[in-house]
Amino acid sequence: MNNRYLAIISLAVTTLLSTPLYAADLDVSDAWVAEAPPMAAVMAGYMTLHNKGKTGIKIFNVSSPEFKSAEIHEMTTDANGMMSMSPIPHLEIKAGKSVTLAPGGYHLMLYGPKTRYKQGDKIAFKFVLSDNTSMEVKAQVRKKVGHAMDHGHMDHEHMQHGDMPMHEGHEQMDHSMHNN
Amino acid sequence: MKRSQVILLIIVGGLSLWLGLWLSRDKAPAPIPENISSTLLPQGRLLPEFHLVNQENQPFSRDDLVGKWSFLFFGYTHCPDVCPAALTTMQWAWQILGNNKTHQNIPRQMVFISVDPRRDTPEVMKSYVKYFDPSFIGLTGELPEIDALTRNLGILYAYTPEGKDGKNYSVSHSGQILLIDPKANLRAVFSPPHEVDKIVGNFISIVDYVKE
Repeated sequence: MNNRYLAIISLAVTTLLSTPLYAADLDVSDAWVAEAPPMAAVMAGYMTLHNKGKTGIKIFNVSSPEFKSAEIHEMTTDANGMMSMSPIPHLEIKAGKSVTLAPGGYHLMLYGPKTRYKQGDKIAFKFVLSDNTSMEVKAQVRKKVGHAMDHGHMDHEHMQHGDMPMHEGHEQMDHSMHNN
Repeated sequence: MKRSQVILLIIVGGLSLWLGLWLSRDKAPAPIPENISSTLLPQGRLLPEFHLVNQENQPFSRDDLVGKWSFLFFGYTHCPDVCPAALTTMQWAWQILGNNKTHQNIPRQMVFISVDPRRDTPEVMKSYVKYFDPSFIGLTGELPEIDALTRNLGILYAYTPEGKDGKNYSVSHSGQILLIDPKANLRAVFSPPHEVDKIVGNFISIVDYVKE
């Protein structure tokens, strides 16, 4: 009897441990890589991460077969208005919270693209999380968007909307850039 | 004092006041319109001489700023975040101005100036600026020439330590977009985050203000 219970419990525990718990708690939405000019040696990736679990999750490592190397960077502005990018050792998403990677704030710094990626291309990333599991994230290449294109007060009637993909990725810019 | 003397005094005083105001009318700048939210230099400040090369490897100096309004942005092509965002804003401003009924014919140019000439050769600059608009100008050159400009314009930059392969250094830099008038004077400074509507609206107001 006792042995049977033990077997069931140990099976349950094993199953629990082998499940990528953190990955299941981490929702990734709106993952995109900014299309870059030809010959660009560096590109940037953005997304919104939401931790729906009860434990903080850290992303320790980012990699992609499409790039030589990848890092998580933070953009800071000093008192003189000088803007600096610096790698951070990990990105923490606290329990129940969201972190947005967006132009002017956090971004994935992507060195050495293997080829020229264009709008519509898909790029896979591997995140190594703080429970030592990894998860895959798929991002789409998009043209960069400018900031705060609200159409309230300018004469935009002749703007060529086809040339300006202002709708995609527009929303997260409004949120993040004001904080920097 | 007689009453007639008092009246004379008032008349003389009034005339002198009017004469004083009339004489100084050219010197006092018009009040800055309220809708200008960028930092405006009412009198402008002449840029120093500088000698750089454009994306075609042709000389580009202060004289090339004369006769048109110029938007200047300092950055580097290995910059994946701030610089493309600023240049995209300039690209949109360019297109919106091109379609603006009242101000589309104002001569203007968009200029991206590298603070990383070691990696930003004219060839690299060419492919970079062309991506945003074929008309955009990309300048690079000797560091002392770049410094002559950045120091004068209050633009700061610094290189971060190099990565393992010596290539992955990044450059910290100021994010302002500068507006230069057709006489090569610094006229306005736009601070980040850059909003295209603000830049276009301010530009139109500044052009009208300078014209007055």
